[in-house]
Amino acid sequence: MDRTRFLELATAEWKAVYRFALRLTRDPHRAEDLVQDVFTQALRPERIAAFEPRGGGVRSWLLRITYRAHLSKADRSRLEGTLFTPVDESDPAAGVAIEATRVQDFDWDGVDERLRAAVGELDAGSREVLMLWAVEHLQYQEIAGVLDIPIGTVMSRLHRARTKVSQSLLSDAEAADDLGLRRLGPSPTAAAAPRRETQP
Amino acid sequence: MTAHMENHPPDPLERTRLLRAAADGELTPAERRDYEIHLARHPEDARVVEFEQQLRSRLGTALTVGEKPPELEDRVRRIADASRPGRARRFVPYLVAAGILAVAAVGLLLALRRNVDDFGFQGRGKLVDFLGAHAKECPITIQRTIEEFNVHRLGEAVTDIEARLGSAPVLGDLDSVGLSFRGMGLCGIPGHGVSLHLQFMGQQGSRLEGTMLSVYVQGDDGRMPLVDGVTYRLQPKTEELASVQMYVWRRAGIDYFVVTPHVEAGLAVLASAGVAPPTQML
Repeated sequence: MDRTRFLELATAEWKAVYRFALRLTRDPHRAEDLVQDVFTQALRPERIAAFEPRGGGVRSWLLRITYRAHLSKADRSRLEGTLFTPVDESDPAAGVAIEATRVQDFDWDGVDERLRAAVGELDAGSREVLMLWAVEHLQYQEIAGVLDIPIGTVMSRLHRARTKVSQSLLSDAEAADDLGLRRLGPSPTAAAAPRRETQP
Repeated sequence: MTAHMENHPPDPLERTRLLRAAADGELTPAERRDYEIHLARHPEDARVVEFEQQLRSRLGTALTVGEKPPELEDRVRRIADASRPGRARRFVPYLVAAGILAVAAVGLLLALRRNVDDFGFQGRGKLVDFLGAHAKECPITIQRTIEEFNVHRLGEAVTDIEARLGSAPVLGDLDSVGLSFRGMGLCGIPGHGVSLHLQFMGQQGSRLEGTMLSVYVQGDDGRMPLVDGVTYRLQPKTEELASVQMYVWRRAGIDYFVVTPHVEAGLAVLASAGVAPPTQML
């Protein structure tokens, strides 16, 4: 790839690199330092020349460098309890299926806080996979490359994570509905309202 | 999941894995066949796929938090500049070039300020909000494609746009860069006349698989401060839209807006349309 074009693609990813660095370091100043280290390392001419888009694009390549740079800089003992927390592979959420009847007309209004709370309950390994999938829009193979884990592990962690988050959302909604506190599905008024944006 | 679903319907767990892979654009060709067979027998499961897509989209919004240091981008760009080819040769005439650029920049700034005043800060904010929210709030779903897009062939879309705006849009061969046309419908960009929304999705097996990309086109009504031949980047101010890429350009009386969360996809469209990468902020 032409180096000028590569640099354009890479620098456009600085926000994604910073977001990831911030999640890894949990400290804005250390995250900034990490971002600088990553770009200094990644944008060397010989590194660019060796770039091959295997299993992903520039974004996942930069995130992989970020993850490795973080591991090499971090005090391993401080990582205990965060990224290296073992994942319980016998977690019952791994065997849960989702039903169409439960998700039909789910009301998405005001769920952001509940989503954040549900994600906060996940183990660190599953949370990291979920974040790379949802926030950075990476594909399974790209996530595996960034975190240096098998794709099967990515898929099982992601399945478990989204099952737990979905269960949390759906159980809250059903509990509230049972108490008559909120209505599931659009009201007749809302259903009749004109679409705000794209129209046929 | 095997490809023998005609005789052996999947157990609930396998079914969930299949539907989630479909929602993520991660199906293998064999799984895609399974999925189509399954959906034909259980159309209600399109709801599950839609729920999973919404979940990903909402998680992306809810989990994108934290202020980004404003000067960090400059530092990254300086690192990139140091790596650009021909940097040493540029150093000699640096002062002369800087002087010329400074004069040009002042002139351009004055010109843009006048135009920006016409366009209006509020108008720009509404435009960014609309483009950002539209991409986040309208993930591609089977139901949406059927109900909301009334043109499903790219050739028909081009003809329709030409009839409405007086000029055919130029986007190049997006199929060849891995983006499939999903449909086109009318949409209302705030403060403007007729505009149309063309939606594309990354092709299965391509590097852009599962990527959503929207192109909006509208006639040049003289209100947007765009110079023909220049590509602009629209920068969202809010954190929740920070990961959305927005590129804007004007050509032959049509204003183009590309919106996608995927940088590579956005730049691929620019290359396909034959326009330069963005050099200015709008």
